[in-house]
Amino acid sequence: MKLIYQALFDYFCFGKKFLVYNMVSRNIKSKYDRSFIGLGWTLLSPMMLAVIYYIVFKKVMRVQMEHYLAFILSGVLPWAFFSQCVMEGMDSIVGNAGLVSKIPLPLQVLPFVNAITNLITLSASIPILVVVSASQGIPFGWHTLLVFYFYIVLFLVAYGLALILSIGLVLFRDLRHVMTLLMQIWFFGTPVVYSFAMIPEKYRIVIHLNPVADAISGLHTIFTDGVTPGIRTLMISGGWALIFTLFGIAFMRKRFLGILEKL
Amino acid sequence: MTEPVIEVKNLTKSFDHWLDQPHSLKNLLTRVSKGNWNPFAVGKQFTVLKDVSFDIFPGEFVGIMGRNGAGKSTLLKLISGIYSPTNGTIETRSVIAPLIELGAGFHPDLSGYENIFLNAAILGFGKKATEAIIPEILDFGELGEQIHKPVRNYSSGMMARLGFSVAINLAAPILLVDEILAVGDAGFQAKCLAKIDEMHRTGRTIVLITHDPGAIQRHCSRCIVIDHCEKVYDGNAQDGAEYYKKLVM
Repeated sequence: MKLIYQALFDYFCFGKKFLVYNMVSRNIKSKYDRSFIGLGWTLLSPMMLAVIYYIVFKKVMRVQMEHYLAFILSGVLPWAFFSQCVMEGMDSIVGNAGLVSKIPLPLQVLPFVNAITNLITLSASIPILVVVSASQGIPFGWHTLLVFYFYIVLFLVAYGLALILSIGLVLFRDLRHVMTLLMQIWFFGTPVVYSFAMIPEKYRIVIHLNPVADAISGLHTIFTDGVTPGIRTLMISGGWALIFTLFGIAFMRKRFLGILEKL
Repeated sequence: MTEPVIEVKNLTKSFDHWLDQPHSLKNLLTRVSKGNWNPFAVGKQFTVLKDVSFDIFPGEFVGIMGRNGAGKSTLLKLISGIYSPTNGTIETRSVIAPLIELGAGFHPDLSGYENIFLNAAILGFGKKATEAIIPEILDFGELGEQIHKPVRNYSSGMMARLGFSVAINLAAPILLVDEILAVGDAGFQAKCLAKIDEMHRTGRTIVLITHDPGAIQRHCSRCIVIDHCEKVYDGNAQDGAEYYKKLVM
């Protein structure tokens, strides 16, 4: 029991709250420092993307779906968070080589700080989703709060994956190119621009093996159908969050001594 | 007898020779064509430290000297836990503040003041400990109004001043200092050494790497000289500095 507590304590950097706070605020301040629109870019770029998808799929290809704008936004915004979290998190150790090779730090702090930074900008997307979906007449209620559940699921999957990849990248630099490609494939393999219901029955079982598919389709359900997502969606997405957390902890505990010499 | 705060026993450290590592497909194919089929074969190793042992006791002021590339910085990184030993053990019994590079972790876009908090947090200190020493840091760094300007506009000397002020004022019982005093003007250098002296008098343990035998003679209580991966001298500072002078001349 104590061991589990200690592992979670380390994994979520509870002992380093001041450090995490400072690094997160550094990231947020510096990312858009000297830029006119500033923090707005984190939301503006996926929103532009959403508008493009809306035009392509709804206006050109004429997808038969109601509330398509709410649908596309509730998929693209979380996906943008997820992929940014994974790709930036993967770079967090190699990118901070000057820091970690000079000062002893627990390595998980770097992908964790990155994931928290992205989670904060992601939560700014909630009002946008609520406004767009309300303007299309989607009902709200207690079930809307499940958006936090799915965001945390995405956060946990992204953090676990980023931690593993960030250590992997030190040893195998090709990983960056592999992941750029893989994230593109992953995007189309996830119900982001199409809905879960559009997938032919016999392939649906395969889609559950995609760690973020259920979380994103759960968000779709909240913001376009206005109902509580099914218990299976909640269970499977939560299961993936658990699996990635366990993998992340296993990687963190292995410590990878000697990894810093390879930077 | 008191327990040593740093205990280094039979420490050996070697690195993989990066040229020999099969990091690329091209490299791997060349190796295979030469008949070496094991893709995980460890390349050539080169030793940086060989069988080094010493104890550092609380309150000591130890100077470490040696030629460029003798392994001094590697030794400091091993003590601070950034590298892990190939053989042998290192035991530390206290919080260590390693000053391997001043301002490591400074963010160019943040102001000097904001960087104080960031740097202190990176060095492992909490909010209260940092706030408590803010006046001393500002006073010691002598940056005046510049402290609220972004660090990207600082000169390297100003950066060093700020970095040193943060690290030296944090109350870590052991201080590891690596050749960082070379930056900054003579006045600030003297001030830094005086401050280190003061830390030493208040009972802190200090390990200092430097190329200046004069500084060792003036400040240190003990000197360790490293040459060709091995410890060649360990004893009083006066003789140590002379030994080093003969070695490099």
